Order: sequence, then C-alpha cells, then structure tokens
Amino acid sequence: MKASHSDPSRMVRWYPTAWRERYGDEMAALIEDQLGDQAPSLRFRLSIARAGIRERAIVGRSAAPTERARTGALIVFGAWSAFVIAGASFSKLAEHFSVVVPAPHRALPWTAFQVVQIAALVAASLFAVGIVIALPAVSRLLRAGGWSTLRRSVLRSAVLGGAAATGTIGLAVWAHAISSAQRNGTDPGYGVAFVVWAVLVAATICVWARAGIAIGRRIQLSRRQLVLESGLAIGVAGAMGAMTVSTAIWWASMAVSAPWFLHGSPVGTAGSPVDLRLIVTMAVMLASVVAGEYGVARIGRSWADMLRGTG
Amino acid sequence: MSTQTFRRPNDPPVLILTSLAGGPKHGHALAKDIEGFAGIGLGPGTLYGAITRLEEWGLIEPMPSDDRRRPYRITAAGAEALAAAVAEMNRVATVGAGRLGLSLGAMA
Repeated sequence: MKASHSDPSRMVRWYPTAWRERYGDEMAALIEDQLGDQAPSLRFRLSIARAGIRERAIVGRSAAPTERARTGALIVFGAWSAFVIAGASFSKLAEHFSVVVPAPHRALPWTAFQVVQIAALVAASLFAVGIVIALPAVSRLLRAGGWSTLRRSVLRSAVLGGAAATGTIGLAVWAHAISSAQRNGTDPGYGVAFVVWAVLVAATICVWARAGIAIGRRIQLSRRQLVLESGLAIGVAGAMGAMTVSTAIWWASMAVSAPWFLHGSPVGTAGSPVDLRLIVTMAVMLASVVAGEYGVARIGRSWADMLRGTG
Repeated sequence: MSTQTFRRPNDPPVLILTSLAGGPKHGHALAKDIEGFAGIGLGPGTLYGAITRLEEWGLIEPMPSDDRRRPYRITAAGAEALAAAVAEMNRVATVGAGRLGLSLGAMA
C-alpha cells in the first residue's frame, strides 16, 4: 500500500534513525490511537516534526552537553560546506579584478580580498585539524562495523566526487584550447559545460558534507576531543563571518570604483552595482554565517552546562 | 541512580511518573490518564520525548510486549524521584495554603 502523508510511520521520519528503531513503532501506534479516523492537523504535524528535530539535538537542551557540543560543531560543519560553494562563486566573480580597477581605487578591494583569502586559509586549516582529530574515531567506527551504515552515502559521494574530478579535468583541457573571450561568454557550449560542472561540484560538496555529518554523528569522541572539535568549529564560524564582511566591503568598494567589472562591461562604462550572481553569493554566505552562529550558540551553551556540571 | 530533580507539577516527566505510579501503561493510556487527572493533553512528540529521557535516566522501564503498544512501568529510582518531587511541591503548596489561610485537605 502506498504511504500517505498522514501515515504515522512517515510522520516520525524527523527523528534520528536510532531513535526510530527503538521507539518508532510505539510512537506510530500512539499517533494512530490519538488520531483515530481524523486527519492530522498542521499543528499536530509540526509538533511531531519539532520534537523529532529536538531529538536530533538540533534545538532544545534535552541532550547531554557533550552531544549538544557535537551537534553545534556539525551545524558549523554543514554551514561551512555551503559557505565553500559561495566562496568559490565569489572567487570566480572576483577573478582578475585587481587588473581592471584603477590603481588609486585598488587598495580597499585588494585588502578586502586578501582578508577573504587569509580567512579562507585559516578556516580550511582549522577544518583539516578537526578531520585529523576525528580520524582515529572514524577508523574505530569502521572497524566496529560502521561501514555497513555509511557505505551508501560514502559511495554516492565518491561517485559524484569522481564525476566532478573528471569534469574538472575535461573543462580545464577545453579551457586551454579556447580563447579568453570564448571562456568568458562567446562560446555558449563552454558556458553550458561550465554551469553543469559548477552544479556538479556544488552537489559533490553537499553529498560529502552529508556523509561527513552522518560520520560525525556516529563516531565516539572523548569529552576533550568534543571540546576541541567544537572550539575549532567556533574558529571556522568566526572566519566565515570575517569573509562575509570582507566580501561585502569588496563589493561596496568595487561598486564605487569599478562598477563595470561587476557586469563584465568594458572598462570605464557606467553600470549598476547590483549583480544577481553576487546577490545570490552573498545570500548563501549570510545564510551560512547565521547557521554557523546558531551552531556556535549551541556550543557556547553546552560549554556553560559542562562547566556547571548540568544538562 | 538518577540525580534528576523535578520542580514543576506540569512537567511531562512528573506527569508520566505520576501516571505510572498507578500501574504500567502504554503511550495512549498514559496520555488519557494524564489528561484525566491533570487536564493536560500531551502530544506524541512531547510524550515520547519525556519517555525517552525517563528511560535514559532509569526512572521508567519498558515491559515485554509483542504489541506495538509497549507498556512502561516506574522503577524504584523513578518512585524515589517522584517522591522527592511530590515532597518539594507539597512544601511549596503547604506554605502557599498556610499564607492564604487555606487547608490543603479541604482543597483536594
């Protein structure tokens, strides 16, 4: 029988897998008993969804402080993954800007761009340290039979990653065989291929982030390691904030000194500083920063509870 | 042993422990009993969130069941925690009633 939207087993999908395995059937039976023949109201559905998300320790304080620190760090990790996509987009949009901006106006956008690059390097380094700290726990998880639960998402990520790598090589070869003008819009075939490649890379980052979060939720970390990982996450969130502010400064300074660059128009021509690609890039950056700050707030509260010995 | 303390009478864990103190019950029976003695309707999310925590704290335990409607019973630690919560609430209620010149027995 096809599951309907009011199917209780579908309504408990917001809960983590381990919880559903233990309580899912019981809760589905309770939902059936409480609803009878009635269709579930939106409020009823939302209350179950909210409780499921709370059980994942994304909201609320019902989980242990160490687990909330872990969730906070994973939220920052997810936000960083989205930020990487926005950062790559910004990097492409800002390509060669210093060449076209008149020298007297170059200092501010150049400085802002340098801050973005340094903050990106800092965040990537913190991220790498976090992975190194987690590697022994990942190894233990795999040795303890964790591969069976992770296999699907890791293989999917690996396949997409392989496709993205192949696409990158193919696009690079193509790019070297055509002129700069063709690369920048006069060759529609290359333009389409570039968009497809960008979508593929973004999808690869998303599925790897998802696999990383699945692994991060399952590995056994000591309290000290969790504190360390969540401290690194706070650093990454701070770097995301610095990059977003610097990107906004770069945009504003370019809008004043070289608005033509933002549209790819000839040097010195007038133009609006509003560019859809930059708006989308900034929106993704801002959303990532907000999500990252939420993760940091959860880490901060969990640390406070750890110090008090409560929660 | 759990170190959980409950201070509010309408906390879902307190309501569940109070209900189970009267005998084992499954989810729907718990919700109906709580609505009956406290006038509070607990939704599935709230009820099972509290059941999860209470089981983690060792204050309730599931009973063997072939049915999806698994009953729960209060443990010795749960009875102790409920007794402490009731004593705490009783202390506050006694002070409140005394200051208002009321008799708790007459109000029950």
